[in-house]
Amino acid sequence: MKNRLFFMSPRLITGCLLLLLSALPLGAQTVKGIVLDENSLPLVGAVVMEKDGANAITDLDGLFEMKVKSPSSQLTFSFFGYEDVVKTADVNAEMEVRMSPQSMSLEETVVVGYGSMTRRDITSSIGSFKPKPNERRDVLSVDQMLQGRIAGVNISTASGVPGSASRVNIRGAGSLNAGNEPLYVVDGVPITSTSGDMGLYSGGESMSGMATINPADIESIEVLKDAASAAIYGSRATNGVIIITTKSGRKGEAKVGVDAAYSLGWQPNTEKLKVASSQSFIDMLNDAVGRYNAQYGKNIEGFVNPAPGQPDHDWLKDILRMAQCRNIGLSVSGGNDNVNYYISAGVKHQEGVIINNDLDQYNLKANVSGKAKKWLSYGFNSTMSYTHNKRVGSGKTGDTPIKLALEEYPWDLPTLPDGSWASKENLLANNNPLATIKESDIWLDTYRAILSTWLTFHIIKDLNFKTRLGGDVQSLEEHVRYGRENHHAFPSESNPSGGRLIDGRKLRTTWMWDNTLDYTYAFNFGLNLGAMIGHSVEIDNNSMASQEGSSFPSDRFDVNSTAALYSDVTSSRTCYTLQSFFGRINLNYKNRYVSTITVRTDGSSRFSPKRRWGWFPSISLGWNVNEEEWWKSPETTLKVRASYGATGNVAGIGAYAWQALASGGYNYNGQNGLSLIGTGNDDLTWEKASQADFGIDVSFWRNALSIGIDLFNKDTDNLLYNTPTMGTSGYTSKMLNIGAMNNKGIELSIAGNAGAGDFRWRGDFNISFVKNTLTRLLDNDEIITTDSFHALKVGQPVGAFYMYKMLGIYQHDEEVPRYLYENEGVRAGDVIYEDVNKDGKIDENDRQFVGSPNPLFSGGFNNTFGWKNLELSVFLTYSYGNQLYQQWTGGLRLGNGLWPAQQSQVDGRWTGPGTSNTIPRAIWGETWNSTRFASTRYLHDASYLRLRSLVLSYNFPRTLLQKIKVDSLRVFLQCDNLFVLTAWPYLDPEVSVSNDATTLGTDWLNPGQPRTVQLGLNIKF
Amino acid sequence: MRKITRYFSLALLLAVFSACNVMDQKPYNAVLRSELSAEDIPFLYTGLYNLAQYKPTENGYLQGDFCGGDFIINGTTTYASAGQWIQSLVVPTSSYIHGPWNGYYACIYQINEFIDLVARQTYNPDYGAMVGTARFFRALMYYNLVTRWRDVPLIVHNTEAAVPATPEADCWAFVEEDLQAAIAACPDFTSKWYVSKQAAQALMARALLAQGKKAEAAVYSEAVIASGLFALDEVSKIFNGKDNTEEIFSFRNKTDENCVDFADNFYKAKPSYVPTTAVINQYANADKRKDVTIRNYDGTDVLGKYVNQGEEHHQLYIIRLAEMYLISAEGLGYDQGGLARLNALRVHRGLAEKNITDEETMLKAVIYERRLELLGEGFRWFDLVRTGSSPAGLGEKYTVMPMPSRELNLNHLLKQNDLWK
Repeated sequence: MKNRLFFMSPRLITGCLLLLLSALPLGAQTVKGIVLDENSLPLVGAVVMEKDGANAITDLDGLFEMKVKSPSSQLTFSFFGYEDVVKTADVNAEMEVRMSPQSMSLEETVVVGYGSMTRRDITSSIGSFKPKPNERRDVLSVDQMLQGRIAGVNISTASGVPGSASRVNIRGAGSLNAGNEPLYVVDGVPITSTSGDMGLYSGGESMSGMATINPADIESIEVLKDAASAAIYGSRATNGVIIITTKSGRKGEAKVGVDAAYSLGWQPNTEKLKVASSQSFIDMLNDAVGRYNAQYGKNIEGFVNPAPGQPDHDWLKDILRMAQCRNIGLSVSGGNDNVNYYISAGVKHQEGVIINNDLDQYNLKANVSGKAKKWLSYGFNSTMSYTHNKRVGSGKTGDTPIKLALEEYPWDLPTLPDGSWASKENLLANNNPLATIKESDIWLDTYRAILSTWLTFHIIKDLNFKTRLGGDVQSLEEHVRYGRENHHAFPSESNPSGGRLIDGRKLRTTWMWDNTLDYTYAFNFGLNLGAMIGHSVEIDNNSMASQEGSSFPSDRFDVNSTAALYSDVTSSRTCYTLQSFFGRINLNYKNRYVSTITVRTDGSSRFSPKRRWGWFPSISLGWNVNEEEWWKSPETTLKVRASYGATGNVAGIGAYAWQALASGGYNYNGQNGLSLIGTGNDDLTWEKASQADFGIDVSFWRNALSIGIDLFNKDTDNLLYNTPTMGTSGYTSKMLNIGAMNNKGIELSIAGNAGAGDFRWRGDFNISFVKNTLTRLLDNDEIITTDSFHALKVGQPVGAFYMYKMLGIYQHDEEVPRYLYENEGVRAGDVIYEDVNKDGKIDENDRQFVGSPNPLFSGGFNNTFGWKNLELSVFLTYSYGNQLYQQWTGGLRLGNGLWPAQQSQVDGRWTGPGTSNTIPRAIWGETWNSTRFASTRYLHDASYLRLRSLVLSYNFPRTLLQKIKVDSLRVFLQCDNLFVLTAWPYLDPEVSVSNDATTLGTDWLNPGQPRTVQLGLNIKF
Repeated sequence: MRKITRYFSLALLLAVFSACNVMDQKPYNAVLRSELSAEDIPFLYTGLYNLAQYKPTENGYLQGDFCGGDFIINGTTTYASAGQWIQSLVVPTSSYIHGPWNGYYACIYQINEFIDLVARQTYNPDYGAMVGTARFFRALMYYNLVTRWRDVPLIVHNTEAAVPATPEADCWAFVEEDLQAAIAACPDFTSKWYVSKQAAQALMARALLAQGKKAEAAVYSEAVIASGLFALDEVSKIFNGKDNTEEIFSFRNKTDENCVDFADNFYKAKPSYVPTTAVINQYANADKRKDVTIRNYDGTDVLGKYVNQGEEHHQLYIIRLAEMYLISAEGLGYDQGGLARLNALRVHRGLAEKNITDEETMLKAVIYERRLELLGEGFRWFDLVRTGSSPAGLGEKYTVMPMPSRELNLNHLLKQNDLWK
């Protein structure tokens, strides 16, 4: 909700006054009523108009009273930025009129870097999302909130584990480095969004650095997508900028809000992972051994079912659960002419679908702003949170519980007859998933404060100087405790009494100070000028210490002072700084021609003095065609805009990467040693992107339908990459500016609304097509493999899959090429890999580019249907053309090792000519079909259409609520993830163990998005 | 009001200028290489031990065992034979191949830089032994490279440019040159944790043996034996971290000094690698090595040479006196004192003397003894290769390691070994 009171345009006020003057209080009947906004809050200053008759405007409580000529005349209700409502007057009862905002109002305020502008003046590509209660989806973090809402902003979750990192990508991959995340700016403070953990837990995936901001406190999120809007943030803006503005108080009586919700969630689609039954698994192994014996004339013995007749144990069931989630939030806001305040507190408990995985979060927020003197305003925003994240294994690690559960034999049980844990050492095929989870205590505590305080001096009229001090302070404690019955810490020679504790602490602070001077001036010939100049300096400090202890008296001892042995005692400290000068000029000629010019120069301590400073200019132009005098259609607006600008990127580079260093810590036998780490690179410089954007915004029927189209072309040069170097150089990689890439795309957003009587509909649809191509890389003919199935090559998209292509299954021995038949033991039933270079062999030269983890297009579609006080919101997200690689092959090996198998593989395997062209035969000990080649056998289409959420809500009638002195009461039922339509054969198509652009699109049995059902309420009084 | 504005402008200007100083950031854990001075030389020297210890990785020191046919991977991944396992390990794309390659060259880089840095300083008598040690390590790295890949790039002065392979013979000449210098410069043995003149002589013996210069090799192995600084000792002492008179050079491999945790792969319940039944069965009951080399851990026969006991006894054996006895045995010949060396070792290990009367039998006996004595110390693969056998009977292809494809992709002057084309 924005400050509607303060944003009435002068034109509207004049209009209202005219209307008031022309009101004719003729003796007739009186109508009374109230006008409410979409949140059931009174709308102040709405105009009520009888056709050819009287007019009124609503008062501070949203109430109106007017005389009408006829008891059944049509009344038109209008309010700027809102859809007009036409209703028949009702003289017998108090009328209640509900109005909803227009899809894209030109007067809407849009927050831009170091200031704000109206939508009309915006000439660049900025996506805006203002979370409204009726579209609200209860989520844990900001990135989840944005998912599917803005064209060109592609957000994919890494897994369904609470607090795990998502990949937020604006307009395609921007870098080869890990630095592909947009810059987040919270209330003017650029914050650190990189990993929220220290990486000490080898069994866990990276945690989100953004999970600490309470979504309920967010007023608006602006996404600066093109270079022209983002360039004001210079060297960190290549991947776009996400500006988060938190709520502030409004003038008026204090309002209290309470939000509460409870949900249940579970892991859907587990039937896709059914483990082969004991008997069918043994039969398959014997088939494998039989084929091996026949092929090689050997006599290896077969297997017998160790527990015939015993029911199969479902290991997956042991580790999954119904996850509960509850949260409650309280806010108080209000203000007067001099002070506004917003204070909130929230508590959230979210369980993961895997046992023992809980996230508890506590948030506190206080925003205060006001006017101290005629010449001085002030403000203070604070966001504080504490998160306790109790973790289980996830990501590509050996401790991932779903993987462990699928790799246990169905005839085994988690406990031995004496009640102790079964283990890999005494019985099981793999580490016991239950013992792995239960005999450990792994958590991450995060304390975080994002602070911003400012003073604004109103020097003379329209000349303001603002100085702001901001900070992002994070303190982390990472605690990884393995009990003596956990496989990581069994008692042994090197750990006499067992148990391990990795205890890490980290303090991360970013302090920034910026000063801006801005001025606006209206020339009398219709030109408005706005100018701003500024300076900012930022210091980022990181310090960390951790130590690992082992051998504890018992599992009850939980600090390292009680350990008998220590290893990995480390501490580190880094610091880097950024200093910037920037400026902006806005020009507006009669609202018809608008332009914004910005320039920024950044200096970073991460580069050598000779390459330290970079320039990031931008220009954008817009033409509000409908403001022209010859424009004859007042119900239609049209705007054409174009922009061009430069942005930079420095993320992913070490604080001292350019320096040639000799590092300490290379000790021997208790004596200090040094090692030469890297040769340095004086020429290391910014990644620089230049981006052109062309956009059209058009709306019809007074915004009943609005369409926005953006075309962009972005060239990124000087791509930084930790380039592989030949071993003989002494190092295996070197940070270099090695290449260039291009992103081009189209974004389309359509919003519409309609209504008849008590029925309302509002729809928002967005779609974006992005094409990414690597255009230059070293000498342009290299293929740089980034892992065993991804590679970089000019002409391919970043993150392209590079592997062996499976063509099918040999149905008869005669089809097998001679060399493979004789030397590799390939027979009918084995996988056919494409022999790209036609040399008769299958080796690394036969790898090829086979697809991309990046979608051809993706987006979201939200529909809200209202009928009286009832509302139904259906939100779909989709992605098309992206592929995903299943790196877990444990259940697909069919005789290559004793791994428990997937039922689908056992049942569908090749057993003779014509039986299968996708799943190979079972063969003992051969790696040809499974582990030897990373092949398209494991690569699948991961396009999907997901019913992201379905929300049914009811707003209690105001007449009822007034009796209990409540302003508004809404109850809702929210169902998340009710279905996913996809060809992906595993849990969820929207997972990735890596968020790195170059190695995207890998699954390792990550738990997917849970399916949840939630009940909740929002009260305001 | 105006005053306030003025103060603010002043503060702003100050901020801008003071901020200029914060732009130069230096790390807290390192110094600029350009600022290294004579004071840092002892630290860089100590660093070489740490780097030589861990950079080649476990595979760099024990590849000879993994690829020698006497070990097999253990776990749910099963291979029908040790040969099948070797075939899966030894492929050009495997990290078993490029890991050690990169590690050896990473050490060589540091050694070359160290030698160059010392050369730029004014003379100091302490530098001689330090450079000797550096050259010992460089020889050790090249020994490992040449035995595995034969022709390899010989990097004496560091470069980022592509370098073609140098013929095997020239590489060996360089190894010998380094070792001659090390022998001349290193002090006599005082501690097994540090490089000594005897360690350099022993490595020279090993390098000469590798080239088939057996008689010359024996000269150096005899010199080590004759130094009187060492004597054969009990295996139960050597492999349990006790003081002994047999170790000539071992890496300390302390837990908190970039240690390579060998025990974790060999000595535990269900370890990653286990000796094959075939090799276990070779140990006679009377053989004192049997119960130390092969130990039973929770029902599995595992290698008992790397037993962690808390923070101690992680050491990585590089050179032991037993190897010198075996080099002498091979180099001197059965009738020139070689048999005596072999029998001395056998008797010390609790076995009967052998009576050998021809060279062929003698060689077989020595290689067999090496297999049992040095199991798990990285020798087996090259012993097979240099005597004309191939590991697990896999054929000639497996008598040389394939050039890492990673390196071939980056260095176009390098060619794949003929056997791997």
